[in-house]
Formats: sequence, C-alpha cells, structure tokens
Amino acid sequence: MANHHHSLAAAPLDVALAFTKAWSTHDLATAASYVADDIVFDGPLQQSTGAKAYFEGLAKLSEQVTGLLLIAAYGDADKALMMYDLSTTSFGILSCAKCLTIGPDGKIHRDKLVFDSVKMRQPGHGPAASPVLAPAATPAAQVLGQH
Amino acid sequence: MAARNLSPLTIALAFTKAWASNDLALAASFVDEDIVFEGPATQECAGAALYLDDLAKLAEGVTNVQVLAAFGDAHKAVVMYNLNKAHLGTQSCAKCLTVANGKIRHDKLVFISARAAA
Repeated sequence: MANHHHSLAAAPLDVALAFTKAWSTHDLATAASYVADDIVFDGPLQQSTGAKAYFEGLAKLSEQVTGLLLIAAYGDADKALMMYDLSTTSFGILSCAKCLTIGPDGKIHRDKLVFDSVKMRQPGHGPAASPVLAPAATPAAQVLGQH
Repeated sequence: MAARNLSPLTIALAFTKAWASNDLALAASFVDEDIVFEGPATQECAGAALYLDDLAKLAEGVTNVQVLAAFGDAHKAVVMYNLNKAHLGTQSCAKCLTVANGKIRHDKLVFISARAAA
C-alpha cells in the first residue's frame, strides 16, 4: 500500500469523500493512500482483513464504475457515513451505503458497505462468471461532488 | 414537543426505534401522507398506507435493531443499522430519510439481501 501520510487534521468526511472520488474514478493509487494496512472490510460479497484483500475487491468494483451520484454524506470525529448511487457497466445502478472509520492517522481502518448484491448473483453473474472480474469497456464518468 | 420541532436525525432515530419495536402507531406519526419510498431494485411506492403496510411486514419478527451510525442535517438523516430478526439472523440496512415539517417525506432504503460466506 502507498505510504503517503495524510494530514492528521483531515476530517473523516473529507477523507471519505476524497477516497470515494479516487476509487470511483479509477485512481486506485490515490485511493490506496487513504487505506490502513489493517483495514477490516464487511460487505455483502466479501469480508476481509488487510489492505491487499480489500484492494483486490475494490479494484474489481472500480473497473465497473461509470459514475457515482452522492446522495448524502456526513461525518464526525472518527466516522463518515455516505449513501450513493453507483452506475456500473454490468449491473446498472447500485444504491450503496458506506460507513468508514478513520483513525487519528487519517487512514481508513474499517469499511462497512451495504448494498443489495442480488443483481450480481443472477445467472451468468455468479462469482465464477462475474463481469466484475473482467476489465470494464466503458471509461468512468465523474459525477461525485454534491453532498 | 411537537415533531415539527425535532431535527431530522431525532425523527429518524425515533421512527426507527418505533417500527423496530412494533410500535407502528408511533412510527406512523412521523410519516407524511405523501411519502415516497425507494427500495432496492423496483421496490417503490408512494403514499403512507402502502408504506406502512410494507413497514408492518418488515417489523414482524424483529427482535432488535443495532444502530451502527446515524447522522443528519436540517433536511435529511442517514441511519445504518443491523436488523436482527427471529429465524432470519442479522440483516444490515441503511436508510436516507428526507424530513419536512417533522414528517418523513422520502425514504431511500438499501440492504444486504444475501451475504457471501466469509
């Protein structure tokens, strides 16, 4: 993972928005700079500990993304909570909620993701045949910004 | 205190506590007649009657709700929670509620319908 150290004063919401903008626009190097090595991820398709497993999953999702519309985003001293609609090449729009826990080091230590993965579980979209595993054909659009 | 004087976050938490504990009369007091519900896939409805019917079905079997995070501003609140249901285990959910004049006007729900094995 990148060893970049973000400002200790960076608010969790600022970290969350910058991280979200980075991965949803395919800038995984910048996204990685916000992630702690021991990140714990809890999502519908993956539960993991460690940045390596986390980024393998995030990279597959990022390949699919064509846009992200932020619906709401809030934070306090150690958490940020967002809801957004993710536009994808293979699954249409996925409505998601993400709660990120940010440490004093400005890094994301915990990510809880909620979305309905039923579209990814339909025939032809199972884990073995998922287009999530294949390179995307459409470049990402940048919709992130409002909150 | 009249609900119209409460913040969206306070209303969201009171509403969540009410329906999750099967106090649907109290939950209904926070819901606008013209509420619009937006759920996963094509689950959408408009109007309090349909909304509360669906909410009553969801509330059946709920043993408790664990709020994981909740924030709001002058117009909206977002709540992420784990819903524990008898025989169905835990389901992670998040709601974004839009509130005006003390009533919930819009409810956008996301939830995990199925989870991959760890």
